[in-house]
Amino acid sequence: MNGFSRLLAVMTLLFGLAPASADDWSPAQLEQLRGLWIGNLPPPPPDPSNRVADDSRAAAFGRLLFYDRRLSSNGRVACASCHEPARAFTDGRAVARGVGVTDRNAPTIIGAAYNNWFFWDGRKDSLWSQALASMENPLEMNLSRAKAVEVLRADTVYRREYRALFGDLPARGDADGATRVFVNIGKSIEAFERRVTPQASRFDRYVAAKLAGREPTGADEKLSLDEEMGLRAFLSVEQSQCLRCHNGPLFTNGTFHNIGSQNRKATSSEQGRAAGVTKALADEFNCRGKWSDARPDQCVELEFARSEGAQLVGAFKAPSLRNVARTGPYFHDGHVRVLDDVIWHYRTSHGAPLGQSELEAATMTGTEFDQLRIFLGSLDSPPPRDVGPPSRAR
Amino acid sequence: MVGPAKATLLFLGALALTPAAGGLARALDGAAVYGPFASRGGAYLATLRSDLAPPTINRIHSWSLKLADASGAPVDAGPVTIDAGVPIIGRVMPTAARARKGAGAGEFVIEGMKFDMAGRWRVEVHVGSGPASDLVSFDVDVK
Repeated sequence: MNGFSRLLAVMTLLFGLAPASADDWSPAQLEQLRGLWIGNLPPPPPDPSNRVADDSRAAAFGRLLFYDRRLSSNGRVACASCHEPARAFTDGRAVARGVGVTDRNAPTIIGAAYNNWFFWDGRKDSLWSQALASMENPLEMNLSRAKAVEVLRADTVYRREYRALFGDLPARGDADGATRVFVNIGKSIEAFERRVTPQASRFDRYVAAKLAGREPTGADEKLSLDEEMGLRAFLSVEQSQCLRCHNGPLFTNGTFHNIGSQNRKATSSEQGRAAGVTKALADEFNCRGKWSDARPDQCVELEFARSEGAQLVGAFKAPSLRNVARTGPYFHDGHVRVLDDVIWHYRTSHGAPLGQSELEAATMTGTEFDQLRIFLGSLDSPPPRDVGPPSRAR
Repeated sequence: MVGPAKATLLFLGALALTPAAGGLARALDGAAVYGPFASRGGAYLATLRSDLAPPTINRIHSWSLKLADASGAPVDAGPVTIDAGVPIIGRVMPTAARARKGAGAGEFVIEGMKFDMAGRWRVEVHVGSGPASDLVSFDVDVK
C-alpha cells in the first residue's frame, strides 16, 4: 500500500470518511473487463503454414529441441537460454545474449501462438520461421543448417522422433535436404511453443468473480485498493491510452506502434515495422514460400499487411502485459530497466526520435501512475504444465 | 505522385476534417449492415456489410459492398479503394484492405479489414476514377 492509501486509511479511521468503493463497475466497464479476461481467450488460431503445429508428438520433440544447447555453434546456447521458464520465458537482460550480444530484448513466448507477426519489427510471419532466424543468427545460436542435421543424426531419440514425424534425414551434403530438416526443427519448436499459453492471473480470477456477480473472496482473487484504482485508470479512455494497444485477453493487439521509444543514437535499426514488413514479404520462409504448408489463400495476414505509411516508421510490436512485472527490462532494446520507468515514459513522452509517436500527454496524477504500475503486478501467472525442461535436457 | 508517407498524412487529415455519415449498424442475418450512405458528391449510394458482427477488435475479416447510382440502380463503378482510421489519435488500420469485384452487378468484396482498438473508426470508400470518382465516408463503432 503506498503513502496515499495509508493516509486515506488513517483518515477513514479518524474521521469516518469512507473511500469511494472501487468495487462498483458499470455495465460498460464490466464489458471492458470481460474483453481483457482470460476466460475470453479462445484456443490459439490454427497455423496452416505448419502441418505439425498441433501435433502432440511434434510438440514433445520440439520441447526437447527448445532446451537443447547443442543447437548452437558453440554448444552452449538453446532457445531456453533467452526464454527461461523461470523468468516468464524471458532472460532478465536488457538485450539477449547468445553466441554474441544482440541489440534486442528477448520477449516472452507465453501466448506467442496468438501473434501474427514475430520479432519486435514483425519481420517473420510464423513462430516456426522466427525460430529459424534465431537459430541462424550469428549473435544468437549461430547454427548452420548442416550442423542442425548432424545434431539430430547423432542422437538416437532425435533420429527416431524425426523419422516418425517427417521421414528420413537427408544425406550429408544435401543442402536442400538440410533446409528441409531445419524447417521441420522450427515447426516442431513451434508445436511446443503453441502450448506455452497464458494462465489465469489474480486479475482474471477477480474479473471472473465480478462477472459472476459475486464478491471476490480469498487472497488469490482479490485486488488491493491500489490495484483496483490502477485498473480503473487502465480502462479509462479519459485518463490513459493503454487500451489503444494493450487490449484483448492478451493485453496486446499484436500490431505495431510508435511510442517514441527508439534509440536516439541509432538509425536504420530503429525503423521497426517499416523495415520489418518488407523483410516479411520477401522472406523465403513466409506463409507463401515453398517451405510453408499453407495454401496461398490461407496467408491472409501476409496478403493484407500494410506495407507503406508513416505510421510504420519506428513502430514496434506492442507486447503482452501478462506477466509484465517479471519480463523486464522493457522496450525493444531493453533500455527501460524497471516498470516504474516504463510508466514514467508514458507519463512524460513527447515526440519521437524517429517517425511520429502515437502517444499524447496523459492526464493522470502521480498517484494514478503508481496505481497503474501496481495493477500490472496482478497480471502475473504461473506457466502451464509440462513446458519446463524435459528430463533429458542438455 | 504523392509518396506513401504524405498520402497517409493526407488521409488522416481528410478524416479529421470531414464529417461522416452515421455509423450505427443494423443487424441482418448475423452480419452488421451499414448504410445506405450517399457519397459526398451524390453520385453513389453505398451499403456495406461486415462479416464480423458486431465488429470486434483484432480479427481480420471481410466486408461486402453494394454500390448503386443515385437512382438506386446497381453500378459497377470501380475501382474501389478503402481505408479506415481513428482520426483523433492518428491511428490507421494495421492492414491494407482491398476491394475486388463481386459476382453481381454493383457488388464488391472487401478483404483484409482489421480494427486493432475499440472505439469509433472512420471508414472511407473511394469509388470510381477521374470525374466519376466520389467518396463514401462513415463511422463504425468497434467493441
